[in-house]
Amino acid sequence: MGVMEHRFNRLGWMTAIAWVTVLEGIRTRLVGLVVAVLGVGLTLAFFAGALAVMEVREIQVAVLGTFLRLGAVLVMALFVLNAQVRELDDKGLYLALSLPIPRAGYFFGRLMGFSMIALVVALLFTVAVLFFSPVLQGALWGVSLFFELLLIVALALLCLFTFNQVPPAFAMVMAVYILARSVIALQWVGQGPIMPKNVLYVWLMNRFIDGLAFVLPALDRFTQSEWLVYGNGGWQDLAFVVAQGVLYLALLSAAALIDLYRKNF
Amino acid sequence: MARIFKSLQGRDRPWNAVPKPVWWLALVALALHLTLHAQHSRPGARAEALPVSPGQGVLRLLALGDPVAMNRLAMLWLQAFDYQSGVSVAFKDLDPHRLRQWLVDIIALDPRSQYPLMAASRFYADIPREDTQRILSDFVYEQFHDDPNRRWPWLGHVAIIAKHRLHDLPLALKYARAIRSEATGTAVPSWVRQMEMVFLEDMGELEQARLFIGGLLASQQVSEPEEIHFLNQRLEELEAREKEIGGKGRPVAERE
Repeated sequence: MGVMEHRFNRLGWMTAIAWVTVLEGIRTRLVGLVVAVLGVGLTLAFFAGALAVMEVREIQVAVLGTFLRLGAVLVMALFVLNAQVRELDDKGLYLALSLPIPRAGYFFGRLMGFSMIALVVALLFTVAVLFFSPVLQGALWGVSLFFELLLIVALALLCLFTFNQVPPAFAMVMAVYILARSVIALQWVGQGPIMPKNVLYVWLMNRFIDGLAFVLPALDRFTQSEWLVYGNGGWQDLAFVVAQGVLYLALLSAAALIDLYRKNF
Repeated sequence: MARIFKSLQGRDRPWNAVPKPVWWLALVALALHLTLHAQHSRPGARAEALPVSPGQGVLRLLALGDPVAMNRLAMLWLQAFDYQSGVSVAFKDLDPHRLRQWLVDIIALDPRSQYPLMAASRFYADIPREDTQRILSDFVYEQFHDDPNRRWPWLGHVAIIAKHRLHDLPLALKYARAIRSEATGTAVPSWVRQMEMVFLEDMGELEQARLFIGGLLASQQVSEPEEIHFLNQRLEELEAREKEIGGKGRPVAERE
């Protein structure tokens, strides 16, 4: 077997794993859930708009954007965790590892499949948001949502490889996600002038928060509602989202691969 | 212990089972991520305008059935908002009407909480802007009526602000009168009830101050002998001053 043929086979297996993952999404009624989230989000947005006496469009798009962002993250995290647990329970992982592909091939196949689902979710939600926002700003929001979902997918895979069970893995995914979005606010509060000065535990706490802010992805700068409301998103935001998304995806993938390669099945 | 460690170690394959490219990917990605963070050093603070309060309904919705916790969290958020480190300008540039609305909505989540009143009287009413001081003082006065025996300290504080910062003695007197007439619990110290007398004296309303002390003594709200003695002494002093003014033909306030 030639080298090229061998590589093609590897790629073929990866694509097959990715396709199986997509099929899993279709057959487990994920589409229905996504459409339901979209429907609830739109209903909420119209309801909020009906209540408002001014800034109707701004209120609608802010409510819709916030709801869809959180909904997409929850749906993707739970889907990845459940799909991966099923893979373990049904011995699908063992079957994949018995094939002539490295563990990295299996991981990237799954990641590719989940990413395709994340892309569809992000596209659907962006189309909904575009009804209420300028096209370019809505597109920026959509790209950012896609990268945010990619990070959630990789994080969920890493957590599941580590904990093997949904509850601790989901708790960890949510903890990291909430911290990544709110750590900057924690820094503000910690450095405020009413905090006691020259106190060791306050100093240690602030350094710990600084450390977290440095290691976690800056999700507070992703998928911002202000882009939709005020239209102030720009190329710099896009560049940051893409750079941060790609780098952190690589980091999470590497961590997940280290865990996967060390696993003794 | 050694057995546990061995069994834990035995569950996983050795570290060298991880291919080198994976280690390189981890190292390079981590290095680049840290570099990106260092280059995009996040601003320590953003001087943002205080948004309009979403209203009690939305706050209750966000509380998910736990308004007491939401009250505390919202207060911390509001406080952190003003205390954006390095943006001390933002502190006095806060819109006092929005601030008042936030405080009204937050205290409605948990009326037993004293925090919004403390923040209004100590943090915000101290801001060197007259409109802010007046609006926040009025907020404390308005809220005082709902629970006078627990909320009198904050109204007492804004009464002092009204006298010394706003130089508005009638306003200070209005607050002091509200405390005297509504905060009637046994835990309220007598000096608080006597604030009204001090403000009346400062305004040159000696007769009213004398009547106030007389009324206080007659109402038997004062029971401590030392306090009765002190009030009698003040009463005599006031009568003497009134006679003196009567002799000179014009009130103290005019002479000052």
